[in-house]
Amino acid sequence: MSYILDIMYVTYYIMSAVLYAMAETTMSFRETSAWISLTSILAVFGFYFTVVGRALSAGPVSADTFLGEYVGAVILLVVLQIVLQIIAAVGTRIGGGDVETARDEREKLIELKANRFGYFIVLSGAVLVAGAIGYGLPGYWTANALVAAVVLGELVRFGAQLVYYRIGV
Amino acid sequence: MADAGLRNRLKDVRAKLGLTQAELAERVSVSRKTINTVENGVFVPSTILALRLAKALGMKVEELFFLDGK
Repeated sequence: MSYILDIMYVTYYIMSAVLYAMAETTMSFRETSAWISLTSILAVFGFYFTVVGRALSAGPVSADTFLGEYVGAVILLVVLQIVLQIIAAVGTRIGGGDVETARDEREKLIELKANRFGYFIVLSGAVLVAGAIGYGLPGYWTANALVAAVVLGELVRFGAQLVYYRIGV
Repeated sequence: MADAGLRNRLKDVRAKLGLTQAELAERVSVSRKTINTVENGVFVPSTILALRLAKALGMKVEELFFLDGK
């Protein structure tokens, strides 16, 4: 339970900063949405890897040790994303912004360019993990290293989107 | 960021017609920010968007967009 409360606490503070920035600048709904994705992934999986890191540093664990934490983190991330995206959409709508228009060509180009960065990170992580398996990397390390590669890839993808939204593409 | 040597008179023409960025954006089905970045030369629009912008403003595309130094 404290696990969930800690994540909610961190997410609340990060989202406060995002919503403040949204109110102070002319941030579009898509940019706000990318901020929400970035911060919620950072909060949930930052905490997940803190828990995993502590357990691994204490000594060897069984193969399914982190399964519950992992499933919990994924469910929490999905719930957080749904709730925060709805809040952002309603907030944007109240502020007179547009949330219904389909992605235009600039926004599609931003997503494509950002995806390229994320893909490179995920691919690099997969290649590194595949190589490490050959050297006898334990199963729980393999699984968490792959999760880390995907999480890092997503953070880089959303980070790149935010940079492109600000400096142009 | 993107400087392909393409310049435009979008801001002047839009202002002359009394349109806001949001109104023009709605006419050509893009976001207001996209109009803003095209006006500032940060984003180079596709041919189809350039044609849609010209049509929405009642101009020929070459009257609205031109290469640097022309």
